[in-house]
Order: sequence, then C-alpha cells, then structure tokens
Amino acid sequence: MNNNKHWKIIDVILAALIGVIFGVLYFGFGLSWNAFVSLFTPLASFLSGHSLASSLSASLIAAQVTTAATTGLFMMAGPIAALILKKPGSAFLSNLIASVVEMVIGSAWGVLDIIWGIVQGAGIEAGFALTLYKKPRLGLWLSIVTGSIVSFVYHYFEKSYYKFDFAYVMILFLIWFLSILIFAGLMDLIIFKVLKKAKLVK
Amino acid sequence: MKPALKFILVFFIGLELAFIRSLWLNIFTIIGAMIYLLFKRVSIKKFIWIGLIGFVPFVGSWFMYFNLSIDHSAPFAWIMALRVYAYMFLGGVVVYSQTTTQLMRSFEQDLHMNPTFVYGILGALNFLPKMNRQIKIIRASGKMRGVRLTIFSPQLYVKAIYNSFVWSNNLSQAMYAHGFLEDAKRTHYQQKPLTCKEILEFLFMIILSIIASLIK
Repeated sequence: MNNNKHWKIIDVILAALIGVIFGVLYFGFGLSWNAFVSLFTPLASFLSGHSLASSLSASLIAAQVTTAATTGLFMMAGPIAALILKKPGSAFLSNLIASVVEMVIGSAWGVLDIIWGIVQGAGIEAGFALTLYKKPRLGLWLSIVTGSIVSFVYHYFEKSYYKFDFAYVMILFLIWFLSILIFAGLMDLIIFKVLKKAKLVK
Repeated sequence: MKPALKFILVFFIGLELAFIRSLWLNIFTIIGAMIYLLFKRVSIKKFIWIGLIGFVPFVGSWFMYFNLSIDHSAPFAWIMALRVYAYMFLGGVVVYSQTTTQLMRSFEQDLHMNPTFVYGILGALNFLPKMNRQIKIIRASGKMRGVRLTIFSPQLYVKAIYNSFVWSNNLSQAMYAHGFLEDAKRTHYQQKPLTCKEILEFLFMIILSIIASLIK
C-alpha cells in the first residue's frame, strides 16, 4: 500500500470484499426496513382515521423520516474502504459492490440498488477526491458533506420531494445529514481506529 | 445480447424509471422482463421469490403515495407501486439470466475494462456465500460470550473486515501463484467479439423504452 495511485489485485479484492460485507448487512437491514416502513404506513393511516392531515402526517413520519434517519447505514461501505486503502476510486468501488451484492441476494429494490450505489459512491468519492487522497481524516468529513448533498439531491427528484413544504424538506435534509454523520462518519471512524489499534491499517 | 450490454441497458431503463413517471413504461418493463426471464428458462420459484419479496413494498408504496399526494391520485400511486416490481424484474434480468463470471468476462472483453478490476471483483463476489456464513459465525460467537452484535456495533464490522484482510491476502497470493500479472496483456480462450446486430438491438431497446415512457 505504499504506491498510492496504483491498484494492485489485493487492493481490488479488499475493496470489493468490504463491499461484500456491507452488501450482506445492507440486505439484512433492508428487509426489516421495508417491513417496518411498508406495514407501518398503511397501518398508521388506517388508525389515524381518514382525515387528510393526520393520515398525511402519520405516513410522512413513517416513511420519510425513517428513510432519512437510516440513510447513513447504507453509506458505510465507501468511507471505510477509502480510509483503509487511500486510493482514488476505492470508496466508489466498495459502495457499488455493496449495492450489487444487495441486489444479487434479492433485495426489494432491484436495480434501484445499483443506481443508489453509484450515486452514494460518487458523493462519498467526491469528498475524498477534494483532499487528493492525502488527508483521509479530512476527506472523511468532507465526504459526509458531499455524500449527503449528492444523495439527497438525487432522492429529492426520485421520490418527488418537490411536492412537499420547503421547511419540511430542510428538516428531512438535517436528519439525513445527521444520520450520515453518525453512521458513515463516526461509526466508520471508530471501526478505523480499532483496526489501527490492531495494527492492521496505517 | 452480451451480458455487459444487458447490464447497461437495464441500468438505463432503471434511470428512466426513476425520473419519468409513466405507467406504461412500468408495465412494459415488467412484461418485457418477465417474458425475457421465461425465455431464459428461469425457474418458477424465482418468480415467486420476486413476487413475495416485492409484495410488502408494493402495498406500502401504494398506500404511501395515495395518502401523500394532495389530490389522492390513484394513478400516481399505481405508478409508484408498480415501479417496485419493475425494478425487481429488471434486477432479475441481471441476476438470473447470466452468471457473474459471464458478466465480468463480458465487461473485460466487450467494454475493455481493466482486468485487475474484473478479476478482483469476480474473486470477491465469489466470496459472497462464505461472507454470509462468516457474519453468522461472528454473531454466534459473540452471543456465546454474552455479547449481542447488532448492525449498530462496530465490533461486527471490525471482525468482518479483519476476515476480508485475510481472505484478500490469500486470494491474491493464490492468483499470483497461478500466474496472474496486473498489467500484462491477456489472451482469451473464448473470443466473442461484439457484433453490429447486438449494438443495434441495444439501441432499439433504448428507443423503445423512451417511446414507452412518452405514452400518456
């Protein structure tokens, strides 16, 4: 791992294997996520009667907030691979493999997984690219910012968030950002520190 | 069609589905993907699996978008709900109609991807069942010591990443032992160059999907 720009086969395998780990975990997580969101939404709107406001708020709380709060979990693969390998493209590769693996096992999102993997991977990669892969710690914090912006902008259009109130979308973005900060930022940093303590990474 | 082209086609239609709200595009995608899978003799069990796994999100997103949209429009809810199955069957086309080896080999030969990446990724993807088992083992051994390892505990990730360090080391050593060189030019036993017909097929499918998305 001394020659920084050159990809050796061991680096590719390691980045892809990190993707495989997270892909398996994403799948396990995605199943329960889907069950929660999809069953809770109709139930909540049923229980809250047929008034527009209450059913609207109930389904909003169920779906959008859960999406925003858990988005960081689906972005963990990229930063950790970039921290370990410190190579251009490692975050993107890892995130993409994770999403492909999630699809291969059979998640309920199908091809959407790959699109998400590319969007999130590109967002995370941008942060590390800004530091030219020289300062991974700074790159991690930058990647959280770029990753959350890029993925949220995509989500905004894909799920038609322009139908909602602007203030509400801003609150969602804040939750979105915090989730990525906690999972993709702090948790990945903890993992990296433990690996560093074990002298597995530099 | 070549697996790599198929992959790009599926990806393109997936992007279209994400940005264009069209009921007909969804329906055509589902029917087309189903016919293709039947044509490829994919077992009926896999169809049932897709149907089962997609059912909960299908119902969920129908209700969600029906309640969400201000005018309670049923067509919009149907679009968003059918999209779930459109995505899943498109995913099925990629996953079930070819092996990973065929896909990666096609990426190397037809799209001239760097062989280091192709074989590295292929090697790692073949670890999928082993990794699945390993994560179960890590969780079970944690439980034996009275530690519950959930998705929120860094310990689980650290142990799995440690395993991937070991495996990537072993696999790369094995590949070097079998004569793998990073930047060497490779020769191929089976050569199937990309034909003009396949490229035309690819373009035809893309144009067809655009036309389908324009039907109101």
